[in-house]
Amino acid sequence: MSVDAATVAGADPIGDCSTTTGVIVAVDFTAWGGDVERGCDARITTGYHALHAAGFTTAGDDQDGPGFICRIDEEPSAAQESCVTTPPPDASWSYWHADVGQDAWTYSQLGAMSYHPPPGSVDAWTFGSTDIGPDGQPTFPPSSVRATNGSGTTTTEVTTTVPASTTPTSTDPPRSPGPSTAGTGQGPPTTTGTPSPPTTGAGTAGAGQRPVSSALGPAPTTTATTTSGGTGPVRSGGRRAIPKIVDAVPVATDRQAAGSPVPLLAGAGVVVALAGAAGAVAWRRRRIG
Amino acid sequence: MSAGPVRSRLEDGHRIPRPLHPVAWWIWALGLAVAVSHTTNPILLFLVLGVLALAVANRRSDAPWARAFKYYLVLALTVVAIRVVFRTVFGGDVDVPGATVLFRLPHVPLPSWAAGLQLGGPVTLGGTIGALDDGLRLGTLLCCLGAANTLANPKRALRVLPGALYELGVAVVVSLSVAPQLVESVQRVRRARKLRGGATGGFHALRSIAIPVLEDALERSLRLAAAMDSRGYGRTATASPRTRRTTGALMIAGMCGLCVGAYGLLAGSALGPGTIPGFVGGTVCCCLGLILGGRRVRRSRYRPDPWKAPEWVVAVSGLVPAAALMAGVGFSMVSLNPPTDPLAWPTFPLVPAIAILAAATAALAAPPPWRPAPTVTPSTPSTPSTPATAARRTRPAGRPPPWTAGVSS
Repeated sequence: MSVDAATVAGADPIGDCSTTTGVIVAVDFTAWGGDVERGCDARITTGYHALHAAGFTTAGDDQDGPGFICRIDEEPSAAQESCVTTPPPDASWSYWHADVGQDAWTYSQLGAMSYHPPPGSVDAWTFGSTDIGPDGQPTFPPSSVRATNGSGTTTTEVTTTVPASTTPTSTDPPRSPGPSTAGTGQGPPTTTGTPSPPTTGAGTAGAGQRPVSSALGPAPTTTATTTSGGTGPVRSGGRRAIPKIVDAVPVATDRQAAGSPVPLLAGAGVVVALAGAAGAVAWRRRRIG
Repeated sequence: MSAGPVRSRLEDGHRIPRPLHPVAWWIWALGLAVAVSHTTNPILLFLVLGVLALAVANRRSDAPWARAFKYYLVLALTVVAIRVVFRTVFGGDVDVPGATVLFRLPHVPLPSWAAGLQLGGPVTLGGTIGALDDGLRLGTLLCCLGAANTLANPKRALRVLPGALYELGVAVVVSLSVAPQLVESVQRVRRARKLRGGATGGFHALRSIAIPVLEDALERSLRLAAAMDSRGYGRTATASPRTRRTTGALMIAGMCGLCVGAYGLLAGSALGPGTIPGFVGGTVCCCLGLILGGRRVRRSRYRPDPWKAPEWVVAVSGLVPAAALMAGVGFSMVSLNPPTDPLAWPTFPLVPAIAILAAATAALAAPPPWRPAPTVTPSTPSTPSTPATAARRTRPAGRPPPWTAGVSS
């Protein structure tokens, strides 16, 4: 049942996505003092696979199975949400889409396993109370996370306009950028623009200091039209401040089958003893009767 | 006739056989059912099944409805099978990296308006085990109710209903007695077929048994309701129309409130704003309705069911597992619901297991049931028996004890 590093290595580099190919997946970790992390799925299948291909891990809840996204990258933590039954609607992940050319988010009418994102679109996952109307949308516009075709100017613009106050206050326990030592360095080689340090320094100081991908990797396609243009920062100016956007670093989790069969055998022993007693009583009754 | 000494030992020798108060059995069984609804751990669920089986084997009477537990077990197996088949066909399983895929069904692509549904596809070990656990929980829940129906005399259980429910006379009688009647009818129809030399197994037999059984069971429940009606049960003539309407309105409003409240409480994760007010308001309305409706009903008791120490022990021993699993103290809640994604071995939480085993004391605490002597079949209790067996009995032969009255046709 264990997952080797090969599945983690399958995370696609962000440069594999362009305005017309692949799907960008952005996950908003600001609820835990983190950033908005984004990744790329170049071979689109379902929204669920896109999430994994973009370098995130998910966990379902026991009641609904893996199809219900209860945790992304181990958030919320087990202490915060047990993920046994369906979590309440004000504390669960919600799923949003923005197709090519769209500058507003649409709440997904389908589950992640049923939805097939069109090429060039953006998926977003936000945590917390969800208002499906225009007020409940993710705090960042689609243009701020969209893939570009190598120019990189638009995203630089976005990230520079982020005021410093948008990063969460230090009172919150900061979300550590994952157990990224296990990432085996998948992320850094893909972001060509900035010298992204290997994020071995996880823990308290690491939060919010992950490299902002100001320059995307050069995309193979050379169509120069960027649909996002300069609308992102302008639009965001009138609204809430945009959180910091970083590229996701694949997180390896061990999906080891936990525990040992000993408790099961012990329990089976007790059950057999109980059933034996019941059978003996029933047999004696029948013999008498 | 060497059964004498063995039998007296089985019946604890000096304890006087008597039926336990039906409400005590119902509290015991419902307590276990509440505990079951909190866990999908197969070890705990099988423990509950074992406790139920032990109590039924040791303390059921010999009445026809008391031989029903095996039917409930078959029903539980059916539930598990249906759950697993649905999970396999309508899947929802995906190739999660690291999951063990048992086999793959051909995937049927569905149009976009049915995209929430998945037909076929990979079937994973985790998903199948999750479905097994889930089905087992529902099946065990059914067995809890089945054990209550098997252990408690359904017709004596009717007597303890609050007087206000007399309004609903027929409905209450049918709802409480149709399951035991169904079991009794299955036995009668099967025996009749066997006597005629017909097959008692196979699909054809199933068809020719099912229809008469359903008809027979409902017919007899209705007949019982009519008989009770003619003796004054459900009589409403003395009530003024205004009182009747008030009682009805209060009861309906109370039930609606209780439904909303119970849903909110049981769903747990979606504790809406209407949950607590709905539950409290519903309870108040129902109590008012019951008091108002019960005020004009005068009942006399001919042979009251006593509530003594064994009743207390049985009821409390059933509430112990419910309280233990709801409180969640002394064990991790995760152990009640073993994870299936990624798949892990179920743990054996000690506190819930001991609490469930505590419910097994009911199998010994309850007084032994009265049983007719071996030569007398329960359906014909008035058959004259030999003087030897009659002398050994606690009751004179030929007079069935009062609690078997009404079960012989």
